[in-house]
Amino acid sequence: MTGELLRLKDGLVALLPVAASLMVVLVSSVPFGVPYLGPVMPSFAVAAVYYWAARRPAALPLPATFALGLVQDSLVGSALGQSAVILLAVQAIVGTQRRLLMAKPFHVFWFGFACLVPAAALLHWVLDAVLEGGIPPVVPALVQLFLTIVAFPAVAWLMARIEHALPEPA
Amino acid sequence: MKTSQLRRVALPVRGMVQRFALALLLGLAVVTMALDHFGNPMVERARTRLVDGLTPFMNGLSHPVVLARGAVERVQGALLLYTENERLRAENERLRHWEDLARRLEMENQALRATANAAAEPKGAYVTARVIAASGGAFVRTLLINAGESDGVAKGQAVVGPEGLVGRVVEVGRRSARVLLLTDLNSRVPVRVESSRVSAILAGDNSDRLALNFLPADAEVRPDDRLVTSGEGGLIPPGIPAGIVAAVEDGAVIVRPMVDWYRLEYVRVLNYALPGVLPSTREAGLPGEGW
Repeated sequence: MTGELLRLKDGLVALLPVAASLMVVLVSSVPFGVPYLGPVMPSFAVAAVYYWAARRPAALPLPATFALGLVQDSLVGSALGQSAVILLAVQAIVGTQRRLLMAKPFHVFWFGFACLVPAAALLHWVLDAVLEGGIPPVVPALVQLFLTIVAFPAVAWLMARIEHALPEPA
Repeated sequence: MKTSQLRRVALPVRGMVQRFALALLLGLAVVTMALDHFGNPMVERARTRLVDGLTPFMNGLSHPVVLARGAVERVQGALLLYTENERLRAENERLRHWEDLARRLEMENQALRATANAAAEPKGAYVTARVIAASGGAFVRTLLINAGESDGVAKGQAVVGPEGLVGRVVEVGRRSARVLLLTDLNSRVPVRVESSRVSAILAGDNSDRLALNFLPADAEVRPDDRLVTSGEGGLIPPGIPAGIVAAVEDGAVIVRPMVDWYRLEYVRVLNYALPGVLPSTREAGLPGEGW
């Protein structure tokens, strides 16, 4: 009985990274009523995916990232799959650069994020241009990019709390 | 020995599986995106199902925000009680004058309609819904509301806020719906200039401002002119305030929407085409008649 309970607990703990990532995606769509925030809301999803892809790739499996993307698209109203493409691309890029980011001080980890976000934002912008058939506005995209980088420590802090609860990787 | 051998084989295999999964999921995402772009009904259904499933979570998450906003407003209200009271007293006086005028005009209107034997305007019903998700992206201008098919919401219906037209319903789930805002690139609403009754099309361009298109060449439009819906097309009732002319530059008319997007908490979905068929709503809405 205790063994089963422990296994259940381990199973629930293993789900925490996915649950927390889903939570930040949902929170970023809540209507906060702050003037001008809506269009430039930081992309918490990119921050969450970056964190787990760099620190614990097994904690956020690819299908979970795909699902996060679909959830984001369905809430925001973008083409279903667009965010999934961006988040999967982020995960793939970080996966190849893990050695550079592993066990580095936080500011290096943050700098890595700051280097990656413009690529993700550009991909988002290009996909928007293709899907909308026009040139999307640049200024909100730039502000969003900046805010995403600034907001990263908050997301990283939350994810780090969860990472401490996870068992050490084998 | 055995485990290290196993690991030597397992690692590359795992890498291959990962790469395969990545390629598969990326491919799937691109295909879904393309299908959605071309309006595939299956993808649209999948999306509305997903939104329906997320609605309880978004309802729960937006509650504390609404409470916090309410608390802030109460504190502000308490601090400004005296000036607010004075302002409201003045406004009340002004509105009482308007009420008298409206009553007189309504009676006159009824009398004239009876004499002219004019067809009665259809009476509409509405559903009140809460905004549960605002566009989180830089490029899309949509909202999600917590009322859907089961509340009588249907595609194309007009959505209004306290100040005027917000947009129209573009996707309907069972208990949620997506509203395309006036400011979205794809939004086109037939309107009239209130003072001159000239028709035009109010178009969004993904910015905070709107453009007034298809205005007759000889039409005269001045800043501060109000624009109201014309009712052409049948789904959006006539006479709903949609915007105010902000500027006229080189023949281009720039319009400021009536609605303050950031304060939008509750909206009304108007059922104009089929009056009086809305079922009573669950927690989502407070049904009523007329607007």
